[in-house]
Amino acid sequence: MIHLYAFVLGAEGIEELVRLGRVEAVVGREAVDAVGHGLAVESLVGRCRSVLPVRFGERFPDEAALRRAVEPRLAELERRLDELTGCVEIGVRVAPPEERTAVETGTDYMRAAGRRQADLRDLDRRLQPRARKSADARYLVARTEVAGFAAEVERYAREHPELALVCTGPWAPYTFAAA
Amino acid sequence: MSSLDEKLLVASGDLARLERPVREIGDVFPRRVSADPETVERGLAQLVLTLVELLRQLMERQALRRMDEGTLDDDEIERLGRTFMKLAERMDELKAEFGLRDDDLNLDLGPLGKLM
Repeated sequence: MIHLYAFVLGAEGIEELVRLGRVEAVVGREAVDAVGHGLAVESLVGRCRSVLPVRFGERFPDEAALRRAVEPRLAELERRLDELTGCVEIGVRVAPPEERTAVETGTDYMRAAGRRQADLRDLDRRLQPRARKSADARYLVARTEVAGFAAEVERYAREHPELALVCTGPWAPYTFAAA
Repeated sequence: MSSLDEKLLVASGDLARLERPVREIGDVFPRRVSADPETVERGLAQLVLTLVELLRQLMERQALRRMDEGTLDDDEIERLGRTFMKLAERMDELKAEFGLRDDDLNLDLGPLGKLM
């Protein structure tokens, strides 16, 4: 049984590869659990020019079956891998202040909710120019821009000490793998 | 194999609030509705309150959007704010009653991700 982890371009130092023209499929011969799958995909991030993660559980009886399944989609895979070249995914999570500030009137409540939302929009507006794409607090960022992106998040965090904030990455571009 | 410890770029504020759901990622089962009679009530409460919380957030966002667009007058804003405030208070009471925390109302749908 062959387990499929990802499609990649420009792989270096990876043993289990099935070459499909310019695209290569990274595979494993042993079954792994979902966490093992995730770690295998993450290990590719620094060793390939472009990584297109495949969802957990895609498997084929043999190499010929894998080729048969992938070949009709090869042009599409190449296009998507080209789009993701040199990019990684970065996630930002923000938790609002836990203690609700005492508000007296409904209008105050709505204003406070509005400020919380405006703060989050402000963060997103500042990060957008540093990202190629974004979706729901996940950002597709050029590898060379990661440090600048993190510095912007850091600046925002310093301006908002009341928020709990975590920024993680660089991840394989899971969110941007489809479409 | 890359280490996951290296994935933290920026961390700020009270991280315990973010850390708890992260710690529970490998712990999917307690987040399902259990058929055990001792816990089924709490499990159902968690499910129902999660849906109410989701609706509350959606309605609140909708109200904020209308506020931004200027299609609500002062009385309407006050009335909506009061409604959301009371709903939030009632949710806090119900959460306390069933021993649930805010994090518990964000069901982990496994591969589908978090609900909210």
